[in-house]
Amino acid sequence: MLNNRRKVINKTLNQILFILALMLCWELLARTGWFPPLLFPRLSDVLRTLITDIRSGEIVGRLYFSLYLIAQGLALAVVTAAVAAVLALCSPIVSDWVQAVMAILHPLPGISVLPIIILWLGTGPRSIVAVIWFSSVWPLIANLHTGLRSVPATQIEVGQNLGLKGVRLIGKVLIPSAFPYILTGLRVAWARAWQASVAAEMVFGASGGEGGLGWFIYKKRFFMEIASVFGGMFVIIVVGLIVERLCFEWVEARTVRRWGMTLE
Amino acid sequence: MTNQAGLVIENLSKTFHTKHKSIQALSGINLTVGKGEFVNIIGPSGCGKSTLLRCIAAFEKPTEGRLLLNGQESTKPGIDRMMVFQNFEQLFPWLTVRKNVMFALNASTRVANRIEQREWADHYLNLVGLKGFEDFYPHQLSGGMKQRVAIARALSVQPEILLMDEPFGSLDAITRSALQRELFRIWQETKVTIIFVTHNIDESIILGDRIVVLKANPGRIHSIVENHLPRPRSKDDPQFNQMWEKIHSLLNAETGIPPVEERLTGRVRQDRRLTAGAYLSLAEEVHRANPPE
Repeated sequence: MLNNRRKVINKTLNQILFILALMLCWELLARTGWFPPLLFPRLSDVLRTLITDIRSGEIVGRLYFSLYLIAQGLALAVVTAAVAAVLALCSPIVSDWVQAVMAILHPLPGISVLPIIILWLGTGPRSIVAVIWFSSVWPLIANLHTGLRSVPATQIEVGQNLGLKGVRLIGKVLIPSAFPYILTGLRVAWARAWQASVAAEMVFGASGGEGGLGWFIYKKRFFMEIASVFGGMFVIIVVGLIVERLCFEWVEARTVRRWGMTLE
Repeated sequence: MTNQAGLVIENLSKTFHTKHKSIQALSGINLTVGKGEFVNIIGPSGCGKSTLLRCIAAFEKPTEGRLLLNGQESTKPGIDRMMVFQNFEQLFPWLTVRKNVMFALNASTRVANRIEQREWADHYLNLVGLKGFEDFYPHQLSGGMKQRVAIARALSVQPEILLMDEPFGSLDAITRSALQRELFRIWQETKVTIIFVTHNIDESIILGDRIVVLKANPGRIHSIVENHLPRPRSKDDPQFNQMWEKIHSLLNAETGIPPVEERLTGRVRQDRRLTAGAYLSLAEEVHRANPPE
């Protein structure tokens, strides 16, 4: 146990050191003056600009805007997926339909529907929410569908034996039993949504000069403020890591790992 | 007759329909189980013994016939007939041992108050010998302990009948016989009616008052053996061996199941996940059938 923990710490330390070395290389390489500083700024400049952008509140506002749209898109996707998966559970015909639609639309990258969405919904936040929804809804449905199907029949019968049926049976037995799959679905959906929001905003911000992180990067590039472009990318990486490593790992440790329900 | 206490099974038949054919699993079953009785059902695999139990629990709907519990026809699953399965997955892995039992009390609305639910749960966990394991999660328990939790959970809602579908079938021989003794004690303490399905002859003799022997194709009652051996029952008792031979010959002669060695190899081939426990109990049967010189 202790030995194991030491291994994990060693591994993390090793990785952090490597990343720090890469960052040092970046700084030194930029300082040689071989490359035009406009295209390849020093890391120290990037970090300094990032701090300025955070202090001025600009990047925080952009981040908030992105997260706000993602929350909307993900919430819609969760509702859609829940309805689809529950209907599929009730009827094998609907299940076939859901699987067919999933097979056709799942491989389609979310961003590729943007042109059509712009025509239908215009270039506003609504379109970005729609792209986020489209990017995240398929992995959610797929995992929820598989999760509900893999609930052991015995557990359902135990619930029925105790008088549970319909919504109570779903809520008290099926959903908790499918939770490992639901968590995986949410993880993938979050990653897709995060990527989709940045990508969609690169094409247009949102109406009235409002936009999220993608729009921030796009605008800074337009004004050739390359240090800020890198700064925006840093924020994207850090937020992604925080949600993945802290939020999801935290939930996982307190649920599926504690219950001995980890998939694999 | 219809207001008789206990369970009355009248002319029960069950046919399963698949795309191409229909299989008659049970035919013309008539059986009365009195209140507080301990009945074993034994038969070769495929004789419909589990189907019969599932019909009693109303997980399956009989094609013909009916089931009366205390004179009332029962057609839906309910907490008056609680099932304990062989499968370890029957416990909810996301709930602790205590919460698994409380779940039953809560879902069945047997006990509404949280504090009382907790007291009831602890009482029944104590009954099955799991005091001290209340806050464990199922994956932290051994197979035998999991089955104890399942029994506690089923008993907690105070059913009229406990239906047990080879509950010790996946346990090793030692755990199995320990749980058989425990189940007998629990039965005496709670006075619950138990219908216990098994394919293990020893188990059926050790536990029950009556042994219902089924035969296959279609599943029907071959004979009912009264078991009045003095308790506690021991395999060393010559009467035990007579009883064993009797049931063994009933199973063999009339059901046409192959000799034990063939069954042993057949099962090993058929079921790669055959547990050590099941293997041991089969090996034991082989040993009994062919005692060394």
